[in-house]
Amino acid sequence: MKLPFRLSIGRQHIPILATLAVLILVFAFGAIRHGDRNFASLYNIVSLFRGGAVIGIAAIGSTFIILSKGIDLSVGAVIALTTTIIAVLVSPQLGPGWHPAVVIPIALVIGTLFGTAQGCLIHFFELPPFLVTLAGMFLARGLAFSVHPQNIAIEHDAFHAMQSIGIPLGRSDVPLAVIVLLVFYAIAMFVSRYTNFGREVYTIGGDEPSARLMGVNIGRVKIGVYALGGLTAALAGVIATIDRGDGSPSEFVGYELDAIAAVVIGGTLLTGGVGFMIGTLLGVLILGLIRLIIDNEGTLSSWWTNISAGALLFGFILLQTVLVRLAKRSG
Amino acid sequence: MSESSTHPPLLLVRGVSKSFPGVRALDNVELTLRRGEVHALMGENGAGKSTLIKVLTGVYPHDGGTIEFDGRAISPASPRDAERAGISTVYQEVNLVPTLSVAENLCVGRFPTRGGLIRWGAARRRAETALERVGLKLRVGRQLDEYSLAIQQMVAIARALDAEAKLLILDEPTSSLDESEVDRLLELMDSLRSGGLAILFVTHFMGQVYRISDRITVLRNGAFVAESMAKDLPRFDLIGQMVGKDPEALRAREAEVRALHQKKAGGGTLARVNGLGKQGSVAPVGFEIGEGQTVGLGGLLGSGRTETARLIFGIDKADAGSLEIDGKAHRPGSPREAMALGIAMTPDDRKVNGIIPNLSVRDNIVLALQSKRGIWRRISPKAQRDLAAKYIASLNIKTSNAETPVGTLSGGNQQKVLLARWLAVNPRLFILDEPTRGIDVGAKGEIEHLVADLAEQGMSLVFISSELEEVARVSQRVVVLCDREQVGELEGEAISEHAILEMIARAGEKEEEGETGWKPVPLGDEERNERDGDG
Repeated sequence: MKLPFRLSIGRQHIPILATLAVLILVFAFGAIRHGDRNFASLYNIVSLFRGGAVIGIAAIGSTFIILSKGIDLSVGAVIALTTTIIAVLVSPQLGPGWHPAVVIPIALVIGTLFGTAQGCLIHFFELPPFLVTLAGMFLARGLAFSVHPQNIAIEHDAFHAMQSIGIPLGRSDVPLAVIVLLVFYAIAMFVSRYTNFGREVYTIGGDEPSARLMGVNIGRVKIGVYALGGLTAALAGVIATIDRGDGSPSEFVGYELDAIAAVVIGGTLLTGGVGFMIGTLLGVLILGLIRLIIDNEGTLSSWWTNISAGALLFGFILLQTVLVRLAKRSG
Repeated sequence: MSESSTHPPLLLVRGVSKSFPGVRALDNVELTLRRGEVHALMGENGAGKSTLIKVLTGVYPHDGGTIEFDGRAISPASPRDAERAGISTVYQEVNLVPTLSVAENLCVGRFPTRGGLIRWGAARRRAETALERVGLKLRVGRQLDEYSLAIQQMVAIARALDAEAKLLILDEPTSSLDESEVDRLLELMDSLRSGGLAILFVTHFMGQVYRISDRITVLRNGAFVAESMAKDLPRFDLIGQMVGKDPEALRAREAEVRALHQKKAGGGTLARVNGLGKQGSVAPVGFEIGEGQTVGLGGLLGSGRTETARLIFGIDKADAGSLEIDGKAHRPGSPREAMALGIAMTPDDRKVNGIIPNLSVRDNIVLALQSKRGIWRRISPKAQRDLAAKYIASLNIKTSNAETPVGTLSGGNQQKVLLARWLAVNPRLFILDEPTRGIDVGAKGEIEHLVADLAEQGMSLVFISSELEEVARVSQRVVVLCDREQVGELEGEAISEHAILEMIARAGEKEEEGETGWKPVPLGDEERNERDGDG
């Protein structure tokens, strides 16, 4: 590749730069068009993060999984299962009435085990991730309903306490959901970049047979990413339970697809091996911004959110295809 | 050499056997490697070379015999295990991850860490040091697939050496490199040998074997045939050992092929390529193709050989010139149009562009004919079977029957199926792009022979091969290309590998300043600080 000038930006950075550009453009559009309604206010920005917290946290696992060239369709159902389990276990009427400090770790362990089981099926039986996690989706959703068939409102002091946690920032408070979101993205970015596990995810996503010959323990990494996917889905479920104050077996339908959309808009290639954790967070914010703009328009129906998200997703898939073709031609 | 041979050998393989259900892949094989030597492992496809390598590198366990390495018996259980013992391998296809950075490709599995965390600075320095050993300077933060295949291959070697290897196994490392890149690689092997490394070199290229190897071990049908000093083993004797035939018989056959090809074609001109060219692909080329003539396209990898063929067959549409057939000018815009003109082509990468591995031999053979006739005029099952049987017999395709999936055949036989597919449509002009790449000596000979037979029957052929010697042997006319430009033409008696090379070299001199051949990418200071990720 010969350029008239020296660029220190590699090919792998192009999708994430496109994501950043889209985020800035969408934000600028909203700020200019709806400037009179304080679009760019701190309050709005905090609520943007808050609105994206559940999907954002779940998308951490999805990012690792997609980087490893897999897919996870069970996310939404696992979130629903988690909220239901928590609601039942803390309820003295429906369940044992345990303290959330006990129940939340149990929920996280269940989610992780669920993901681990999916990972084991995918690795040991060489089953396609799409089918395994599709089965996982039905299983988790069914389990959620069998735990309790209706929404359960949670009345527990500890939950009220967690709902009121907030770090003051300007005139608004940063709620627990946003704190958890940011802390876990920081950890995930760190893991993806500075640990052997993180780099091995990229390695097997880039080329699995080569990774094996390079001495990467494929099984450990693969099962690891799905376990992580289960863990972050469960964590997203915990945050959703706190935020909404209920357990809801019938909610969170399609969250796995929103998470995948955020990952792809965030510049991670569905073909695996290329992408950045931070991109997914940007993707979540972009989807949130679009929703915010359309809400502010007032006259547009909320389906326009989906239409814009669809168009954007399409654009990113095209960009990825073009990049892959370019790589093939020059490589 | 003379000094090191007094030391005990580095690797002693004695009586090693390996069976798979129904096949004895290795039978009592022996192999002896000394420090500081390049040792060629030769044999036809299926001779057991790959199996032996996989046993040495711990991919397969061996059933019997002993492997002694560096003074102690070993039986590696995994590639990792073999690496730890000091046996590193670079495979035919570059086994690195194209989407990772160069530095990561060198460090995955052995990142320098502190407290479990990767130290990127140290990793980059380590990568640069490893690359220095193979004489490369790259921006290690760049994604690997931004570099050419040749450089990727050298990075793979750098990675293998980084594991403190005592024995480096190179499995067909040159099959995707062009000549100047091969030179680089052989130079590197030479300097590594001087450093005391033992290199086991597996290749199909005879020329390279004789240029670099000290010793040659030949396997045939899974069994050890002979070990010889390279300088004491004439080429024909080596081939004789490999195919298990008398060198005299081989010599006679080669002479026969040469004689067949040198026979002057009697017919007139079939086609005239008139300045066919395409911006960004190849500059306008022009040559004549006589009836029953074989025209070779000679040149290094990337010289525009394949591009020229693609223009003639309409895969890429030319933006200049024309293809004149029967006195009428055409500019094929698709393979379909070219097929209508009576042109056929086998692509250079049969795995990607040609063979459909899961379909049977019969289906693969019938494919082109069926597509020419259109889907409404189905070829009857009986006609299909007859067609398949005819070509299996006439091309000597080794398959258990016509319904075997093509993917299970050896490379040479897959190539023959591909040839049969196009022969079935009875083309007037047949373009063969690298028909002999990656297939063994025996099959190569058969394909060369087939080319001669076809020309004899009056078919015109365009023949492309990386092995210029082969091009020289089969062609009555050679169009020489260099840097995507036609630089000359040779005819009849004037054709030789030497003459082609000379023509390419002269073209290279003319544009001494040009960006030809292999050059390391300079590493600027600003790139040293470059980061290769987020974080």
